[in-house]
Amino acid sequence: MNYSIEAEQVCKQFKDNLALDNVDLKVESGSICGLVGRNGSGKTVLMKCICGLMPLTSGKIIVNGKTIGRDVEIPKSVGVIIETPGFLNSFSAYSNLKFLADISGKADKQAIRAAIKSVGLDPDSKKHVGKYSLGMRQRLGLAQAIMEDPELLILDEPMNGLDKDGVQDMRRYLLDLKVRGKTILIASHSTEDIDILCDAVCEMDKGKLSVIR
Amino acid sequence: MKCVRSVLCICIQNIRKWAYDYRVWIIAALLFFVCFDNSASLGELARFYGVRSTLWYFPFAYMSFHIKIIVTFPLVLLMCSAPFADANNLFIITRAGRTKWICGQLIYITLASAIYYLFIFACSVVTAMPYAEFSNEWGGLLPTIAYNNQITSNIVRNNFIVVSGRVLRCFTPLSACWFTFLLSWLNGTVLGLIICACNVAFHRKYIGCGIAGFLIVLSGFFEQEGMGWYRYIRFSPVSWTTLDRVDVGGMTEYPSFYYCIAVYIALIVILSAFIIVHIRNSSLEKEVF
Repeated sequence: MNYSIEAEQVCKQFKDNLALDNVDLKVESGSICGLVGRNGSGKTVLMKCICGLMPLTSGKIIVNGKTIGRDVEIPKSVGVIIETPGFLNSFSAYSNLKFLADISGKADKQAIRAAIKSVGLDPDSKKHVGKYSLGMRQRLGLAQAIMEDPELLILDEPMNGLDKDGVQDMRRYLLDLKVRGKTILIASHSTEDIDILCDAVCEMDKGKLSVIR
Repeated sequence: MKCVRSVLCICIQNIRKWAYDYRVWIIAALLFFVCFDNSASLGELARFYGVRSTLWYFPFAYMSFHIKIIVTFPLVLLMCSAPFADANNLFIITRAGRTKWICGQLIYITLASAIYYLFIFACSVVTAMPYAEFSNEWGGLLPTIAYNNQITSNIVRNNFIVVSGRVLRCFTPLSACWFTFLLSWLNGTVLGLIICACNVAFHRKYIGCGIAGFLIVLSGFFEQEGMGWYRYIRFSPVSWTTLDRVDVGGMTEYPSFYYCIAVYIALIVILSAFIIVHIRNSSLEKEVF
């Protein structure tokens, strides 16, 4: 069996607070894995560690066969939304994504436009992102995560701020990505989202991870 | 090549944020006002002496330590959030990686410092235009002021213009402007890197600003006439931003031009290496989120 993410005995300590306590996690390639748990249970910390934004206190994380911090600084071919997406407010959606695409050099104009369209936004709109609602920013956050066609998506509360239709669109889109063979790790407080989307579900509680399904 | 392109894109991304950063507009307005006030004082002196002013007073624009402090503190304001991490940078780091990201930020500090002093230069030229003659010479006014610095302070109220006769003798206007810009640029870069290094090392933004501010104020003490601290100027990089505090041709006790450049470059290399190593090995959590 192929795994996109393998976390082994992962610990992350912040002074007196053990945010991750011997976490073992395996996410099968081409599946959607849900991460549930109360606020402060360690979901976001685990996602940041998988993204290479935080070094581990102990243990190791392997993403797409590469050990984070040893083989690579940041996992290759990963799209990320963690917390509220941050964009340049005085630029349009297209300009914001173009700036990011220039850095990675992996998405051309067509790919950027297609990503914006696929999340229900208008790539030709000149409207500044500063005037976007939270839901629109969230959609744009997803567009930036998928525009380079990554193998793995790490999404922390991607449904935040979306209306009913937006949630339906997002669910449909994530299931479509799964059909296309993408692996998705998603954190959510919505049991409905988790039930509909996820093949496997893990729960975080005070830094400990347990597999529910 | 792709790596260089990524680093430059990261650097330019920070410049784009200037458009809606109120700090940048406040700093630009303050620097313009300082130059405008200086030029108006020069114009008044030019009228008094019956000569034309010059476009090239940039080397003397912050020779007075009062103005030097006023001009250098906004640079600390511009750099205070180094390494300029915000929510947008999460997207950048996950694309570029830690090393390229911090290299982009270091280049941004260097570029921002250059733009900062080029802006002062441009303001000094533009605001001097109504009073100046268009010539590649020092003109009549600056030498007159140089030999009457005490007298001119009585002619113009709140006059902070200091002109060094030694600089007039040793440099042409354009070379003086270039060397002043070079020293100021390197100094601005060093201050930015000090702030960045402290911010990433201590995770407290006020420590970097505090140290940079302390260096600026300290330079004011070292440059105070009558305190006898002149010999310590070689330990005060902020003091070397004007040519009157730098020795050319072994005529003064000030540090030599090459000493200043060498120390600036050494500090830039050491601080950059420290920041890169630190960012590669530490959690970005506190810097970014």
